[in-house]
Amino acid sequence: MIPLYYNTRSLWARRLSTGLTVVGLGLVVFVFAAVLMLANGIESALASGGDPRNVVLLNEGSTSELMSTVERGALRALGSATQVASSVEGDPLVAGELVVPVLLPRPDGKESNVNARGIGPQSFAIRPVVRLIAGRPPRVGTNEIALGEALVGRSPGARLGGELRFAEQRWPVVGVFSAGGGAYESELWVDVNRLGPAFDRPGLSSIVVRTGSVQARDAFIQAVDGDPRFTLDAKPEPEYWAEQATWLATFIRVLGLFVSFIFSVGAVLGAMITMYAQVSARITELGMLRAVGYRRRSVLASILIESAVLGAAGGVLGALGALATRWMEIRTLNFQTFAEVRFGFTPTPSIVVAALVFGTLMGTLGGMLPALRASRLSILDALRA
Amino acid sequence: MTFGRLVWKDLLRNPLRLGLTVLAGAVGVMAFIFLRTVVDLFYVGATAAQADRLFTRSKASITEDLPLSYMPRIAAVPGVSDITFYGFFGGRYGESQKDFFGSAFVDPPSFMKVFDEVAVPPEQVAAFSADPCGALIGKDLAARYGWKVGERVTLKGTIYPGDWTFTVRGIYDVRSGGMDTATFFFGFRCLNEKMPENQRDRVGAFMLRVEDPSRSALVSSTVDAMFANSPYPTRTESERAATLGFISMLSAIITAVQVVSTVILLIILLVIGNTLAMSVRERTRDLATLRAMGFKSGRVVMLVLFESLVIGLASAVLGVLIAPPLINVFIAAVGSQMGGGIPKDFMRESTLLFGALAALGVSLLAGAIPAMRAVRISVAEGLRKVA
Repeated sequence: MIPLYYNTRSLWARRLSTGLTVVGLGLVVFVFAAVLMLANGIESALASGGDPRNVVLLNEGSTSELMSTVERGALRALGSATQVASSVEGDPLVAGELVVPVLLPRPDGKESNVNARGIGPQSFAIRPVVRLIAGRPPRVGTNEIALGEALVGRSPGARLGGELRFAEQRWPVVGVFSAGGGAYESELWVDVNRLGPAFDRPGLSSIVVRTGSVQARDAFIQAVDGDPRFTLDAKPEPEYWAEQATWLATFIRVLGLFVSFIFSVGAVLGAMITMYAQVSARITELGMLRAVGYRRRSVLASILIESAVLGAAGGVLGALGALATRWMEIRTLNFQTFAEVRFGFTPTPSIVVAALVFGTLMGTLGGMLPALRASRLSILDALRA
Repeated sequence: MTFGRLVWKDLLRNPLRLGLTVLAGAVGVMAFIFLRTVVDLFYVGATAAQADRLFTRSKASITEDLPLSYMPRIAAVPGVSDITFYGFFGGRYGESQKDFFGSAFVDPPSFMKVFDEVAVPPEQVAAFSADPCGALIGKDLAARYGWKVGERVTLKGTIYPGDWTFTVRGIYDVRSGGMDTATFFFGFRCLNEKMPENQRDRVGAFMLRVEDPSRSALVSSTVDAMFANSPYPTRTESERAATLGFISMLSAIITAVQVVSTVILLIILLVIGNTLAMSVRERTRDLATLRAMGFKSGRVVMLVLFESLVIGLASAVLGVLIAPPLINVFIAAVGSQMGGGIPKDFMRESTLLFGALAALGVSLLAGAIPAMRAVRISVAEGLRKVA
C-alpha cells in the first residue's frame, strides 16, 4: 500500500486545480442534498400536523378536504361511537370542518391562496399540537380569526389585532397559533358557522375525530367502513396529510434527481480531467514507486483513493452547504390543497450520508480510468518520461 | 504559423482532456437548457393566453361557484361578443396518481366559439353538442388510453360523488397556443340534471370574448360592478393576468429552478477554467517562448481566450444538440404525473440560443484568470520553468 500521505500531499501540491474540482463536485452534491432535503421538508411540513390518534373523514372518493362535501348529519352519529375520546367537559371530540381557499393580498402586490378552515368547538381540543401562542381562540358565532403562525405578516392586517377582508366581510384576528411546523400553520381558523354562510356552503368538507388510542382509531376506521349509513372515507390524520404532499414532493424529487444525475455526469468528467492531469504530471513519480517495488494494483488503489478523497471533500463541502440552507424557508402553492404551504430544507442523517456517498462515488468514478492508465505504465517508459 | 493554427495546435495538445472538457461543458449546457425549459413550462399558459379573452370567477375564492343566471347578464354587457362557462370536475380515472388528468364540464356550442383554437371535425362537434353526456377529449389523452370516438368512459367523481359515465364524441387538437391536449371536457347538462335542486345551475367561471381587446379593462370593471353587491361578487381579468396570478403563487419553485440553473453556469465555469488553468501551467515555457519571440502580452491573452471560446462553442453546440431529445425523455417520464397538460411546442428556440450564449460567456470568463496568469509571469522565469 502506498501511504495515504502521498495522495494528500499530491492533492495539496496542486491546490488550485484540486480546489476548483472540489468546489465543482461540492456544487453538485449541494444540489443533490438540497433537493432531497426540500422534498423531505414538504412532506414533513404537511405530515407533522397530523396526530396519529385522529381520523379525518371525507366524502367517499374525495382526495382532499377541498373537494369533499360531507353532510352535517353524520356528525352526531360519529360522535356517539365508543372509540371517540371525550373532552374534559364530557363532549365527544368530533369536529365538522369546512375548508375554503381564500385569496389574500400579499405585501408585494400579488396574491396567495390561503386555506380558511371553519372549525367546530372541539377543533382545538382535537389537535393538541395546535397551540395558541398569542391572543385567544375565536369566539363561537363571531367572525374572529385565529391565524396560523406562517401567515403572520403575509398579508396586510395578518397580525394579532389586525383585520382581514374576504367574502365581503371583515374578519378580526384575535389569536395566533403554532402547529409544530405542520400545514395548519398556513391556515386561518374561524367559526364554521360563520365561514359556511359567508361562502354559501351549507355542508362540511370533513369531519375530524379524536379517538382514545391508536388501536381505537383502527377499530373506529373499520367500524365506519363497515357501516352502511356512511359513505365516508376514514383515514388517520398523518396519512391524510402525507397524501397531500405527494404531488409537490414528487415534482421536486423527480426534477431534482434528474438534474443531479445530469450534473453528476459533468462532475465525474471534471474529476476525470483533474485525475488525468495528476497522473500525467506524476508519471516519473509513479514509475519510481513501481521501481522501488510497489505493485500495479497498489498504484491503481492509490490513484483511486486520491480521487475518492477528492470526491469525499466535495461531498463534505456540498453537504455543509446544503445544511446551511436550513434557515431558509419556502412558500409555494400546493396543488393538492390549493393553498400556500410553508416548508424548509429538512435534513435527515440518511440524506447527509447519501450526499457524502454520492460525492465519494463521483470522485471514484472519475478516477477509474486515470488510475487504470497509471497502473498500466511500464516502469521503463515512466522513468524515462 | 497563423494565429488560428496556433490555437488549434494548442487545443489538440491533449485531445483527451479537450474531449472531456467539451463533454462536461455540453452536459452543463444541456442541464441549463433543460431547467430554463422547465421554467418556460410554467409560463407557457400565460404566453399563449388570448388578449381578447376575459375570465370571470368568484371574487371570494377560486373554488367558489357562480350562478349560471349571471351568463345572460354578462353577455349583455357592451363589448362582450361571446361567452361560455366551465367548471372543474376533478374526476378520477383509476386509483393511481398517474391516472390523473384534468376534467371539466362545458357548454359545447359556446365553448367551441370562445375557444376557437380548439380544432375538432365539425361532425364531432355536432355529436358532442347533441349528446348530453358526450365527452370531448384531447388527442394526447386519447392516445394515452387508446380511447376512440364512441368509447364509454367512467370517471369517479371527487367533488361530485358517484360514478359518471360519458361517451367520447370528439377528439380535439389545438391549432395554436398553450392549451393542453390532455383534458377531458364533457357536457354541463349531464352533471346538472343529476344534481340536487339546490346545487343546480352552478358553474365555476365564465370566459368571455371582447370585441376590442383595448377595452377589456372597461368590460372587466363593468362586469364586476354589476355583481359587486350580489351574494356572489365576481372578479374579471384577462386570461393572461389570471394565469400570471396563479404562477406568482408558485414563484418559490420557479426561483429555486432558476437558482439551480445559475449553479450550473458556475459548474461549467469551474470545469473549463480548471482545464485552461492546467493547460496554461503546463505550457508556461511555450508561452514564455512565444513572448520571447516577440508576441505581445495581448496576443498571448487572446490565444488563451480563443482556446476557451472554442471549448465553449463546442460545448454549446453539443449541448444544444442533445438537450431536446433529453427533455423529451423527461417529459415522457413525468408528463403524465404532471397531469399530462404539457403542450407540444414547449421547447423554445430562444431558450436554446440563451443557453448557448450563456455557455460562451461563461467560457470566456473561465479563460480570463488563466490568461492573466500566462502573461503575468516574466519571460525569463517562464523559460527557466520545467513544466
